[in-house]
Amino acid sequence: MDVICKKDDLLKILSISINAVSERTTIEALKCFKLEAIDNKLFITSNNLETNIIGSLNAKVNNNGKTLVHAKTFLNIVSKLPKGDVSLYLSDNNSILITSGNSTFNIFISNIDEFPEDMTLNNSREVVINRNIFKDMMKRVSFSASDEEEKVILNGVLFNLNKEKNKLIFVAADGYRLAKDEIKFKTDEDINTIIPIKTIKEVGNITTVIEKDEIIIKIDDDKVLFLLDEISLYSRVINGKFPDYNLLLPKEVNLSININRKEFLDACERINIIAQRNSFMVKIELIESYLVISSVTPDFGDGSEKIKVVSEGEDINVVFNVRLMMDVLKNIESEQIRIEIINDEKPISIKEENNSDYIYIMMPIKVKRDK
Amino acid sequence: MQEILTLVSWPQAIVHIDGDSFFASVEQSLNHSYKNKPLVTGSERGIASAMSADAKKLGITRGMPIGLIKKNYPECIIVPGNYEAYMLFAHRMFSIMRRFTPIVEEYSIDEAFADITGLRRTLNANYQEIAVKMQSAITSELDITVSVGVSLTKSLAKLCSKFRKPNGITCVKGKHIHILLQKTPIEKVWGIGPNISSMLRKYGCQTAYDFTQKPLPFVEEKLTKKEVEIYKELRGEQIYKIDTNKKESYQSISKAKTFNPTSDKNEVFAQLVKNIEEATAKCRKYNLAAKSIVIALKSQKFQTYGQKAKLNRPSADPMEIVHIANELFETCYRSGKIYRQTICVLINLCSNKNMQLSLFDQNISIEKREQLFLSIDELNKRFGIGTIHLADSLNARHNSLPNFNIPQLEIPV
Repeated sequence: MDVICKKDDLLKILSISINAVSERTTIEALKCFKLEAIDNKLFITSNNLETNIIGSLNAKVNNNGKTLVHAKTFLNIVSKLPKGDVSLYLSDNNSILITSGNSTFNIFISNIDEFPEDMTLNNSREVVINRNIFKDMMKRVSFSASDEEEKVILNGVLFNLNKEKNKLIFVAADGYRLAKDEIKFKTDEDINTIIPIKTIKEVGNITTVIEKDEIIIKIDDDKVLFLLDEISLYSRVINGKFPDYNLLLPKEVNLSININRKEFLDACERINIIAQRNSFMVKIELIESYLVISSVTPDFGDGSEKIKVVSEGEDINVVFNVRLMMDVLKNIESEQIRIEIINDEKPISIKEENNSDYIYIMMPIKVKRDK
Repeated sequence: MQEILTLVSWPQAIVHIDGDSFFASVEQSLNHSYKNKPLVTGSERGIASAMSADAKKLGITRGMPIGLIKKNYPECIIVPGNYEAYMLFAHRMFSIMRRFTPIVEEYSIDEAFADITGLRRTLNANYQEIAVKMQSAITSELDITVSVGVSLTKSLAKLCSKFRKPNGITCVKGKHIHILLQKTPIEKVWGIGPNISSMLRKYGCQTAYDFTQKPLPFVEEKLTKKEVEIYKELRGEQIYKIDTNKKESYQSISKAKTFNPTSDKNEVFAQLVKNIEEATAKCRKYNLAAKSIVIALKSQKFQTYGQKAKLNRPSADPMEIVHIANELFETCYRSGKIYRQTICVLINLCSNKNMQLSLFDQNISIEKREQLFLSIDELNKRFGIGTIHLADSLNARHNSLPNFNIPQLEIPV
């Protein structure tokens, strides 16, 4: 292998691919990048058996060839090199020569036969989606996914393509809240799969550095492939059935409050200073035409905020975890939002003013009265 | 070649005090005729739970059956555990330490840490002299002996107090740490278990000193955050601060009962259910709920098999917990083996006063069940424990040993 490429192009691909490199593994090959020069391209592959990233860049290839190099070391060297051309030369069977300007490194290589084969899809179905739409929808939903290892099914985002309704629906939930977003989407496929939250985050990061506006997503029974410009990302999907979220969505409303999102978020963030000392508990109640948000921490202090709102329905007080509320307020954009409450034990809904396709529900905290 | 780990003598001074054969010492302090004699506590459990120094000399070890001790060592005094007295002595010991410094951590019933950094001038003594004063105050006022360690961090102080026992004092300043560590086998380090120590031995760490000579990147790569912290502590860098928080809430509730050894699966499970019922009842009494549970079975040969599980939501509902315990039990139980004890520990306790409701639970039925168990608690309080119990524990209620009413050690954290 004898290749010359631009340092910046190489670094961009390496910094993405490093995320599919295993650190704690006994298989030496999984700690490596596979470098492969074919014609005028240099391919960089990483594979931790859960995720497999293949990136490519333009390069001047004098001699085709492939090898395995310790990923972290290679990335460290490349990131510190001066701007300009980097030459990679497989001198013999034992080491790779990295040169750039006045720097020369000779790094021992690993046995390429131990590197896993790239993942492949069987009978996959394909979806093409605009990069920004995908990114936005994921932002509005993915924060609700669970990070508790025990709740495997909830460690991802439900990707649901509905042929009958012509809709693309994303849902994420942990035990206490759920977010759902959907768009009109012409399709001939019915797809129901759970994409791991790690993969979603990874794709999110990559979408910020690519130029192409379209993302191609291919899905089969147990894997998903994202084609993001010059990068392909394969990932396993989560096996299992996502809970039927339609059953959880509230069908009734007893109190509906229209409120400015930013004002409400600011108030919640201030109240959180007190609430964080008492399990993040805050109470909201309507007093005349004001929504009063308050929190008390015994032996420490209390705080309250009031915001003028337009409301409709019964007077209901409800207590909830302010973090669950701040999360949604931070991740949606709508200026005005609507809070819908049934009673102090049923889910609270947050909706955007001009977008009936989005809903976030969160469970309140039940306060037991002393007997 | 020996490398000195730090040149600073006392960046901070931490004392660790450890009661010598604490339970036995308290018994001897309460009854002077027991002094300088072999003494064993734990007759109510049927096994030795603590031994006096003289009993240890005879070769009596923890967990030895009382029957065997009676037979082989007729001169040995055997008494039941008096946990209230032990708690009282512990409390007094901690009070004595607080006379010297307000920064005292009650680590367990017979151990405490104290921070005496910067108190040399106020107390008009060097750090070793302060420790000697603490030790002699405890010995003269409580008539028990304690071993004392003084060093730069909690981990080092703990090694020091173990270094000379009983009634010893070991004071190691910064430039002498390496000598202490060279004399400490790696498995004796606080927080290093058999797995980590055998792994470290493979990498050439026979002693704590060898471990501290490894480069930090080695420790970070091969081990977890906890071992990195221990590594730094051993090198004299304080990571663990003294935790003076008053221990008001329970961190765990455990129930363990010994029964007539049996291999009958139904009975062993029934015994476990009985423990779960009692542990959850106590949990409800203090308005707590557990986030995780541990169950363990102890065989007649004193081998313990345990399993841990995280609950979906904090709970003090025995029906819910028995359901999960059943699955854990299946993985621990070996048919044909004879068991003598079951243990149930509720851990990661939190208040059940304010409950974050869950999306997927049947919140209404949960509340009804809570009401049900509160009523059962009332009935059991009025008519005696076990008046109403789960059918699963029936087998444990008819042929149990006479109830010794063993005081459970409640270790508040």
